[in-house]
Amino acid sequence: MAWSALIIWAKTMSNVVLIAPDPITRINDRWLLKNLELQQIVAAVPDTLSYKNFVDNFAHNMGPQNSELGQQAFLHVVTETVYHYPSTYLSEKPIKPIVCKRPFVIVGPAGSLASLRNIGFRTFHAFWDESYDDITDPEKRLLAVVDIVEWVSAKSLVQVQSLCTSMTDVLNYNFAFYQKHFHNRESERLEAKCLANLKPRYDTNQNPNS
Amino acid sequence: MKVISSDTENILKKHFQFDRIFNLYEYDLDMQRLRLDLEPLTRPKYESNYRFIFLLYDTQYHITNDQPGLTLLNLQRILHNLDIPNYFCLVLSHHDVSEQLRQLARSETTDDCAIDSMCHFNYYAVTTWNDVRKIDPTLEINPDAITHKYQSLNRIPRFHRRALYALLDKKQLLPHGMVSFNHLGKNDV
Repeated sequence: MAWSALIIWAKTMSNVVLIAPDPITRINDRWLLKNLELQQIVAAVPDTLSYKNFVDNFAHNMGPQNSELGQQAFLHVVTETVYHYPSTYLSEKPIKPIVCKRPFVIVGPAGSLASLRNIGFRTFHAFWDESYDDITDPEKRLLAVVDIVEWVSAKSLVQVQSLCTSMTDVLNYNFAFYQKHFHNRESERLEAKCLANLKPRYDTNQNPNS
Repeated sequence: MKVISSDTENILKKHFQFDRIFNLYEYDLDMQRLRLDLEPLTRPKYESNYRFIFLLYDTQYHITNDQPGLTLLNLQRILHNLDIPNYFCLVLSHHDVSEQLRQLARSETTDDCAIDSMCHFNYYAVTTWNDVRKIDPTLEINPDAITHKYQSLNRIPRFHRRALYALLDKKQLLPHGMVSFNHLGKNDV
């Protein structure tokens, strides 16, 4: 981890010492690759590489307005903002395949699928092995996700289309849940949390103003 | 950057008194500014339902993964410095930061409780990509539209995306999918 990238501010006027990371390194997106072969494979990708093997100028703005692009592929390999991170981190990215009615795997922190299920979405354990979500070793987790991509890629287009059809219940459920219920359910959860917050908390019943 | 919906804001208003909502993303590169913005709002005493509300809908830098992130560390130090009790503070986030906040309360303060946090995901509904109001409710699954086995879009070349791309390339899986990596298209931002 780049300690050298840290800037330490010491403000004598306010007596508060704050630590700020260099803007460039503000996301920890590196982890140590232990597997020598994997190290070599990753190192072989040039820093300047820019790759895109399909034509669509709106590729990164996929969503309700552009479900056509999302529907062209079967499995969505969602690469989260962070990967080796102390907690799960669910950005808006897993919602993209949901609004396109497509299945997904997540290249993100361990527990990402469990968090999505906890919110109320369904995932795809009936169709492939989702135990990658429990793997805390970042290298093994990534290899397990790639195994699924490899498994899907080995199928014919007809087989993949048929697999998609067999997922109808889950895909329609996730789409409808997001469109009709998710918003209200999150609001209800927030209401409950606000009420809990107003009660005395943790190990104290003391007046917090004292 | 709008990260919570007006519905969410209305729920917070229903339960709490607050002067404003602080989006920590806006202070990430200069947390001293947060201290300056908070200072005029400090009082000798607060109503029991008064809250300083903070949004954490972005990443933090973690020196190691067993330590709290720097954004929350700085926040805790500022609150302690301004003598704002943790009880009157609340962090809304799309990931669970409760353990980090407990760690910080222990290491940085003598406060009786940690800053409370709430996982709240309604911000999805207000992001452009996932705006629920723009969803076509009649959308079919349409399996015949599938021309590729998978799709993986990786605009920002983060390390895990680089590793994924390298593995897909090594296993000769790229031709089966729609893949981008570190590519800025005409309309990409």
